[in-house]
Amino acid sequence: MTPLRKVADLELAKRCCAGEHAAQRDLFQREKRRVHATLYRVLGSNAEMDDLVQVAFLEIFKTLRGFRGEASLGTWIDRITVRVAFAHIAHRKTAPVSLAVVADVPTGDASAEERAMTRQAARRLYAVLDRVEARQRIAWVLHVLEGKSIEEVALVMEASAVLTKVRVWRARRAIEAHARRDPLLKEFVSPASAGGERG
Amino acid sequence: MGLGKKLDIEPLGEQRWSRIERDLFERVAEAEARAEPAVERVASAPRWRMATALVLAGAVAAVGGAVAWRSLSTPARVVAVVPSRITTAAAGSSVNVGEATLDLAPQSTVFVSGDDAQGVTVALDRGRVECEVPPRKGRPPFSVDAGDVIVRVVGTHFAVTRSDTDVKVDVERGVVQVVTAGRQIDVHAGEHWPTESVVSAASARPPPSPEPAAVPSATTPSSATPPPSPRELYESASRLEASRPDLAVSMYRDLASRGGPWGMNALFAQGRLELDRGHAGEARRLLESYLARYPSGPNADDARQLLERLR
Repeated sequence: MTPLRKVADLELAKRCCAGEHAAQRDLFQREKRRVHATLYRVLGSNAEMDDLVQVAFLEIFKTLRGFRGEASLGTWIDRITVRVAFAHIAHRKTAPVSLAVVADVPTGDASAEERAMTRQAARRLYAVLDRVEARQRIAWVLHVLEGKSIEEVALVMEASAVLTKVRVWRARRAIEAHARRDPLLKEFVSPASAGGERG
Repeated sequence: MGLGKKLDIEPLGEQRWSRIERDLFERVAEAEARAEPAVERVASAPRWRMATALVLAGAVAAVGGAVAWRSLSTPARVVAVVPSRITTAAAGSSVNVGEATLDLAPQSTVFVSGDDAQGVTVALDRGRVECEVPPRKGRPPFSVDAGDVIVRVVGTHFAVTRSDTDVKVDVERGVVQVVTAGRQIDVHAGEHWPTESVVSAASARPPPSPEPAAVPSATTPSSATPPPSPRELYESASRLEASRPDLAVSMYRDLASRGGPWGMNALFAQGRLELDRGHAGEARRLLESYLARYPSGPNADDARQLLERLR
């Protein structure tokens, strides 16, 4: 993070804390996709996204008083967003995640059939993740799907790197256990992409 | 291929984002009202719009000697129920009128009448009022009366400025309908009234005749208003991303061509926005251009990540 960006982030946070709606809107416009991406990766659908994005930003506005610029504002926002996602997972009753409404977004050169298979595999993956402990699930998602390093995940989840590695490993083990009985899921979470090689 | 790349994030549509933003800031306003009932809040922000916020619940307050506000059943909403006059001095004020928020600039006077049930009329006597108004669909009318010019609200964020001879309307989001001299003109997000062409035409006219001018508010061009700074343009473009992405791209393009720090930011924002809109080729070109010009720019890492996703 450049010093200029750091100063700008601190200034924006200060204005948000002062209750300046224009600053809060600026922050919302700047970071809404980041918040959405994190929530989507963790939850696997947009089913309750409207409310969750709002809750995340309300928490962000409320907690920015504690932002001192030690980490980037983006990391701060990730941290709050993950807390919101965790609270949501921890309190909701187990319900099947529906990816049926996933838009047919082009994915590289994959054929329509491949995309359909990908969606099917994703649906199965999130069904498995629903049975994984929430912190393990979040750690695995951030590391494997979001591509964050173990250190970054640890920072966002306010945990040690060792504990984060353990969480990722446990989630991976649970997913692989299911994948052994499910060829589609197995292919989808191949070892190269299952998150054990980094961090 | 990594898992994250296999799994696309299902984007939210622009309308959905607009709804989320609207609902979020309604919740913010409600939270603020709950936290500060029946007090006058003095904000520390330097901008006029944040100078003072009046939030009154279940009480009557006097401003300028003749202002009366009263809350209805819930403390989160403050509604004007009698004709009220608000005059600001050196500092501005922010006032909730039902579901709407009025930000008054310094040295401004408005009269407010009506309520959420009957509709609200704001008469701008002088100065500038900036309004945040929920969409009118299914709601009673909301209008700002500035002498010869009436601004009917469809649901938007807009500002009206009135001097002795001039009225200006700036629309940030949504649509307003300007009614003047028997004509109705729709003004959309990012647009202004009077338009430059109207102002120019009015400026080129001979001195005004005794008869009423066709567009009375345009007889004095607002040449005193300084052109927006690059930062203001950037912020405007940012706000327009959801409602008018084409316009936002155009503004970013213009800013990027000027260079400088805001041009640098605009180039990245343009690339990011094009990617959001599904214009992968254009996004790639812009992001690569950003990295070529600003390899150590503040968004260089972000640009590389976005390009990585495009591969």
